[in-house]
Amino acid sequence: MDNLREQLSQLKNIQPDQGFSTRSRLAILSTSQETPTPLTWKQVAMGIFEYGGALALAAVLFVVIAGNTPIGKMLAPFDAGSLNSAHLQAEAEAIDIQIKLLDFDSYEEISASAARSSTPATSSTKNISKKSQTSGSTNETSSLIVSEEETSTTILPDDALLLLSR
Amino acid sequence: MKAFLLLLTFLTGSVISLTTTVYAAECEFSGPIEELATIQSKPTTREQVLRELTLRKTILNELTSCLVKETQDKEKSLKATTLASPETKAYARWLENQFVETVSFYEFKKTQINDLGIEGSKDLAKEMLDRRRTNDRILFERTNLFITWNQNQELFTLGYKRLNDITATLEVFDLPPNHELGKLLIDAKTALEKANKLNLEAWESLKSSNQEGTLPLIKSSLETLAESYKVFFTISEESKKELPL
Repeated sequence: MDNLREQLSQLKNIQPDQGFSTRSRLAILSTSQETPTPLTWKQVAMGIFEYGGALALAAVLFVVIAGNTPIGKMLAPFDAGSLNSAHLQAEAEAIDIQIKLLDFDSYEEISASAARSSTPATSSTKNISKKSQTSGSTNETSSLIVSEEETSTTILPDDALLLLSR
Repeated sequence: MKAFLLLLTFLTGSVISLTTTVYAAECEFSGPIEELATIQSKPTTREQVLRELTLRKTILNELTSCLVKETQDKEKSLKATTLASPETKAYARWLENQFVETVSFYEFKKTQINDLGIEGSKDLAKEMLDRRRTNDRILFERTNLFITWNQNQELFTLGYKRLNDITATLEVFDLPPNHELGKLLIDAKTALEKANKLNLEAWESLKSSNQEGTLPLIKSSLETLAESYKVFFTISEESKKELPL
């Protein structure tokens, strides 16, 4: 152990060979030094041209891809979503709902019209017009329909007006 | 998600449409009406005449409130409609002016009720009933048709977008002339154009004085639009078989 310590302590005394030192110094000193040179107008113009060209190309590519151009369609990723059955189904169902609503509204209109023009005699309705006609002087039919299925009876405004007009 | 939103939009629209016939609390006058009918069926006494007059005034007051509320509710549903073109906006304004005029009519009549006798109440009821038949009913029907027609425009826009998207997709494959998919595409376009023609006819009918033809035209336009979607489905199925999708 003491021997190793002694050897290590001698390392600081190691010196390069005098000839090697001289050769190395000469080699370093003989290497040419690059000194910064001021930019010329030509270099500035080339730089602007290079950066400007890159920006212009990027802009053209953006317009082509983002814009609705034929080239853009070719470059854009292929989209088969337009043939997606689920999307088609949703749109077709929205149309069906509208058609059914129109049918429902038409049915409601017909039902209301039929209810007004006929004398209701079903168990679920009672006809107030019979009461009013017993004392009335007119033969015109007035059908006031009061639904017993609902918690409160409902009389349509037009029917009420008809009764009041007598 | 987009498809779900589309369905939700129309289901919401349907709920609005179905609730338009429900009368408000102001329209509850069945009690006085029944009592009036009972009084009219008995021999007339002075007390009964006075009671009949009171009942008539009560019912007329409630009726006018009911009709004002009904008119305002319909106007609200019109105002809640999203309008895209200046033409539809102008049409909606025209309808709104009629609603304002209708409300003014009933509010003015309401101020006259307390001064009426029995004969006067009969005359007012006749006048209001006549207005309901010749004005209000047409205005309400026209408004319902307009709201429905306006809702449909989104469906037509979607239909044309779908046609354009499918056309663009098929163009990528550069199909040969007389290819089956090309023929189907022409069929879809023909159906869509026919549907749109009916849709525009419905709009013209809506603007005319006679509304009878509007509902059948709206319905036909939607049915024809649905036909074009059947062709879209066929194109979708055939494309899966014939194209490398």
